[in-house]
Amino acid sequence: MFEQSPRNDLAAELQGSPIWSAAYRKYFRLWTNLARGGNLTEDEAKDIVHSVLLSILADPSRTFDSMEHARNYVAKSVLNRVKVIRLRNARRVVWEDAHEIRVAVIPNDVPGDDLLRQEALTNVLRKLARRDFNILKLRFYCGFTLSQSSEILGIPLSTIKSRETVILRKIRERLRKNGF
Amino acid sequence: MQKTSIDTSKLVDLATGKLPPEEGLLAFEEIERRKDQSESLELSVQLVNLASARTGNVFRDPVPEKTSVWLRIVWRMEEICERKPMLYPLGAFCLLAIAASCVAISNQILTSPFEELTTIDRTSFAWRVRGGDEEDIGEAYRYFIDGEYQRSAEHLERYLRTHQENGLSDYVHFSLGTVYLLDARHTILSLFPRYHGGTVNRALSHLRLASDSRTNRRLREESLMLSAKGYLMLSEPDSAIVEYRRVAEMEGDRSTEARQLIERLNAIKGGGR
Repeated sequence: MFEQSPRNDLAAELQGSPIWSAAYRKYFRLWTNLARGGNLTEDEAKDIVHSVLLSILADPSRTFDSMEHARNYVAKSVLNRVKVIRLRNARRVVWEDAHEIRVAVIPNDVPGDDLLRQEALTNVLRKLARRDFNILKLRFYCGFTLSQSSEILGIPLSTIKSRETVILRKIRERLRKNGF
Repeated sequence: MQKTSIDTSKLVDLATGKLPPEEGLLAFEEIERRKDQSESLELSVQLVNLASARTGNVFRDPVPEKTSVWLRIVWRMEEICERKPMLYPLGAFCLLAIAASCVAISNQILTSPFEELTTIDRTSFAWRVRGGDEEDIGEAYRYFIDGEYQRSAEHLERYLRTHQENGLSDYVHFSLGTVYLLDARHTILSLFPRYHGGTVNRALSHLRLASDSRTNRRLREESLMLSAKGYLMLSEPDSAIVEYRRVAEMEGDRSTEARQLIERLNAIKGGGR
């Protein structure tokens, strides 16, 4: 559910489209992180994402085959915008655009799709070996890069990189076994 | 535009916002082309969402500062075994085989060279006791059949305490000697046989009394044969040879066997088994 605001164009648009509401809940964090890869702050990144979404939703002729298709389209749009901002160094323009959006859309506490899927993933993570869990925590929760994680844990970069690949593959297999 | 496969770590960097936008765009080109890359990204997205959740967030454990050398070795071995899953059962089998070999070798080393000459076949042993109608002797016999040698010995000892020397005493001494010898043997899972010295000596003292019997030559012969076994349990081959010589000199039913055993003992003492 979204908080309602009289000037909340985006919230209104999303409420009118259940598919876009689900996509927003699932991928908002991803899109924001993509924007932050361009060295933007959290608020700036959110503004860009909302701006992109509004422009997409405003064009009814734009259709998508699947949620993944929509995800990728929004992601590339966000990245292109961030690229432009970095090239032009025109952050003031972004802020002026963002000001008009008046974002009042607050993601859920568990911004994901299906709660069952989230619970399944949580259960799989709880069963991981401590060392594997710590690697994931450093990467996803603390937001460290591979080299930073390797330094913190005191193990070689190649080991932690291959370990991460193995862990994620294991998680995917276990989720698939549980029907997700 | 160069199209390359993205590794898992790069997808994680993409999802967590560590890639600059140019690299991100290239990554999405690849993601759109390949379903497996798209699935990998989905998992990273789920993990990112879980990590940012305000409630039900599993990422709460403290992060260790350093990983021990031992853990690194274990991780490496696990990685190898994951790539070649047959290594797990094969490795376990090899470890078991090595362990079994070590146990077998140590059993052979630690076992006395006279062990095979000390076994007493209780199924062929005839309970050479008369007076089975005597209560204690009857009870002792029943416990002997059940393998409860301690209790069998208790009843026989009680008989000797409560009766004066009589015609049955020699037989009771012989039976006590046998029971104590059987009770003296201890093993660990049928390996590493050991003999309790005190119990063997107790057996030998009773067998000595039985072998001094003037009434029954056969009883004396058997007592001496068992005494020899007792000395071998104590790893005293010379004393055993003395007993076997006494049997041989009696020229009874077991004199030939006694001579053969003397030869075998001399051979073992000389170095061969």
